[in-house]
Amino acid sequence: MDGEVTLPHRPKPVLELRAVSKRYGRSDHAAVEQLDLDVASGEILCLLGPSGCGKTTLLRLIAGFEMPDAGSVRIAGRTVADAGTWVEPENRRLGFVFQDYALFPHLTVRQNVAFGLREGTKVARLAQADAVLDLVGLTIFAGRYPHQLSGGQQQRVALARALAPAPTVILLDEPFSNLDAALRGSTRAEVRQILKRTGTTAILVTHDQEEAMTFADRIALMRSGRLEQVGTPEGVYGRPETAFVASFLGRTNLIRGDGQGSAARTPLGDLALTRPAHGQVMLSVRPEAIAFSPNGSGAEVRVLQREFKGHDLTYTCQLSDGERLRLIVQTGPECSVQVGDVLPVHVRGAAVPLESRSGQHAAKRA
Amino acid sequence: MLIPAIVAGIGTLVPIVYLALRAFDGDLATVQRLVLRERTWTLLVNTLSLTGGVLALTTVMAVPLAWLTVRSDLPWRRWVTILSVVPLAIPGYVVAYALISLGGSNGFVTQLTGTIVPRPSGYWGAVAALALYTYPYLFLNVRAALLGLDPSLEESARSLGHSSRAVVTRVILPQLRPALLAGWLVISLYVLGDFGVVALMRFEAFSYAIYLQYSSAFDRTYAALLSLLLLGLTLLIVATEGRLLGRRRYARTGSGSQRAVVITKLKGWAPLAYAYVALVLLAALGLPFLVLGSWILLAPPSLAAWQSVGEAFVRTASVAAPAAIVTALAAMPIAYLAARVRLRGSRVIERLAYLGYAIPPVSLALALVFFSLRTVPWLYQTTTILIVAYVISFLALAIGPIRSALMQVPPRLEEAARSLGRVPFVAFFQTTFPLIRRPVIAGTALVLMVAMKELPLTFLLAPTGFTTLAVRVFTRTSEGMMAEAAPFALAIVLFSSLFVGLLVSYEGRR
Repeated sequence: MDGEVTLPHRPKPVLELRAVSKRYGRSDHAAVEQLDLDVASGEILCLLGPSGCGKTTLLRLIAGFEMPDAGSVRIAGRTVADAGTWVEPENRRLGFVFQDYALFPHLTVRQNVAFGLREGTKVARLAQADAVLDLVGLTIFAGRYPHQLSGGQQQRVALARALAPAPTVILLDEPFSNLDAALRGSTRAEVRQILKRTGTTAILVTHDQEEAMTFADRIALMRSGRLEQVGTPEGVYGRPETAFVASFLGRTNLIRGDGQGSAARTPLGDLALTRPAHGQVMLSVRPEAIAFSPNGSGAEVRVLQREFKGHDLTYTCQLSDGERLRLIVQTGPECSVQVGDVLPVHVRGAAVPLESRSGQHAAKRA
Repeated sequence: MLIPAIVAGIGTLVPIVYLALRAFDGDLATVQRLVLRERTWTLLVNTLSLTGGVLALTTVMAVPLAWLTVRSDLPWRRWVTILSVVPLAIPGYVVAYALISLGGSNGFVTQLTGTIVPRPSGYWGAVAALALYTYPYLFLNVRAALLGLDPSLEESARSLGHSSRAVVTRVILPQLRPALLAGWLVISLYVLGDFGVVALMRFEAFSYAIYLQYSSAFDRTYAALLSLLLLGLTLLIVATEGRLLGRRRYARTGSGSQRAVVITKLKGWAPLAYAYVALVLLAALGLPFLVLGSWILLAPPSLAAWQSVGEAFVRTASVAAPAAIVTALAAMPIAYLAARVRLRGSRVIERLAYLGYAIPPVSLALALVFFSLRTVPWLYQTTTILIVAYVISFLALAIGPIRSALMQVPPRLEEAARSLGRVPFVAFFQTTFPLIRRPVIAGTALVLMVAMKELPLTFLLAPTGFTTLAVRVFTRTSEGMMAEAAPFALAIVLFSSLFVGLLVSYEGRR
């Protein structure tokens, strides 16, 4: 894969999905279709995609809450699901953190965390639960009931409960979506730290691209039941392979160009390319890669809208001549360009040529 | 979960099949001759006019009472509400007993005024007794609907130029329709299924006629045929209610929270309202308690009589308690299936359980008699077959609360337990069960209470000599031994009232 930066030592995958498919009822729309995915030990992978793309279904297939129609799932070298094998969820040694946490309301925090511990005496199990609670910083709440905790604390109890039996892989289904914005960032950082400290392999499902980029070692972008692109956050953001990936991860400008090897002819002038392309090609140019050049040369744009966001400024512009192309330009917070100004822009760095996967997603793209 | 649910569901059907087999035993011509008798027609007219009369009287009793307790400034609305529901605890045959006690040469009216009034009996006696104990079902439904009415709908109608009278007919009544239909359905089922009242009032509705036919014993085929007809009539009424209700939406469509109901000031109407409430409560609640109390005081039962009340109580409990436990055990998998498993079959099984509740008890009793005589004769005239009858009849009562509780427990809890290493059965018992324990206990208690005062199934199925409290009240009353029946009736009423109180407070603590 082009956008993917290979890690120096990639250990043997702890989770292997091969051609996994799942369809609900008799609908012709597959929730998950012919999907392959490997997750390395100790890695944090984010399954990112719009709602309804099948990411939660994929997570539930891995956990064993759903049965795949086809394909195989292997965990730590053991096949847990294929045409002739089925391992029940309770025998997969996976941890699952639910979106609504699903804490047992009739059990205390300590009993919740100890629930998954089956070995040793009761005293030993409770002590072990306390150790995990210490890890998530909730020791003082051990005797409370879930409803007596805040959302962020419940979230960490759910994590502690899933971590306590030392699962092979921990699966997190949009675990931060029920937290308010202020708490989300800090909880996310804490959870990531805990996962890294314990060396736990994790798969996190989210529809929030910012969450995926800050949390993941690798991002797997899903669309209509398939993986669109898999790679590091920098790789996927910097070198998107498709228009969908480019516009789902942050904002981008999609510009038609005529590829001529290492450069392309576009309405913005000749642009360098990240990889060679020939003929009609769609290019992605990030808003922060475009700059106003009041005294320079280049295609002239008229400024239609100016949005001040504190740390930066976003302009919506329209190309002056002929082509009615709209451009999003992002600058630093101090820029004197105003609505109505007409001035040239130039592109810094290289534009990313996108693949057209028209055959694959033709129906969905409309 | 699946297998016990299927067994429990199918269990309802088996006796019905045997009832049909028995009814069509003879050749078709005989069946035709029996069904087309004039007597069948008379019974049908009697039963339908009884149902109509009871529906009319309960509506007149329940709707104003519901409106007064929800939408008016009537004082002590909470107490009036509670007192209006208590008659649920009084079995129909006790109400009939109280009414019958009023008239006759040694009745209360005669003793108080000196003039002899006839004992209430026949059509009007049956209508009065049935209405006095079934009206709470309509009251509760209408009350809930009135509480749920969105005042802004009425205000919109007013602002669109409708008078307050037009608002009642065009906005309020259409919205009360589902509640009225639901209440009428339950009451119709009670009227069709009732045995004690029509038998004591000697009014020839289906269930009483079936009993007479069956006990006279020379023509059991006709009894089986009448039972089938009664069952068919019941199903017809259930289906009609479903059709009338249709697929219309009555819930609020908009979002936003609903405002509190608007209270109407009674002003000059207050005395009339007080008199009305007093009259209804006096008739439904005061009458049975006053009559029972008077009998006990006028003719104090001997110690031996109280002793036999105790024995009958223990005997009643010895069948009601196992029935309640078995019912709860059978209800759990069915409720689980209905709430969690989205299969077409799970709905069917739940429906079958509700069918068991709707089957008129006399029909069910005869069905079980024929079933046991043909397939398991060693069960005939045993308490086991009686318990089976209770379970079939009351399964729906236990499913209701368990199912609604299950709907509120997220299935993720069990999934979480499974991801933490529990097999499905253990996952259910460690996570979901503790959360539905209260409704399970409440459902069991409800079945226990209903089984304790059950009459027709017990009367027809219990082993000879196995007399429960209800059977004692019934036989003594039908022999005119009113004073002797009093302590047994009092025991039932006190036990049921106590239980209703316990259930209300138990549910309230959640």
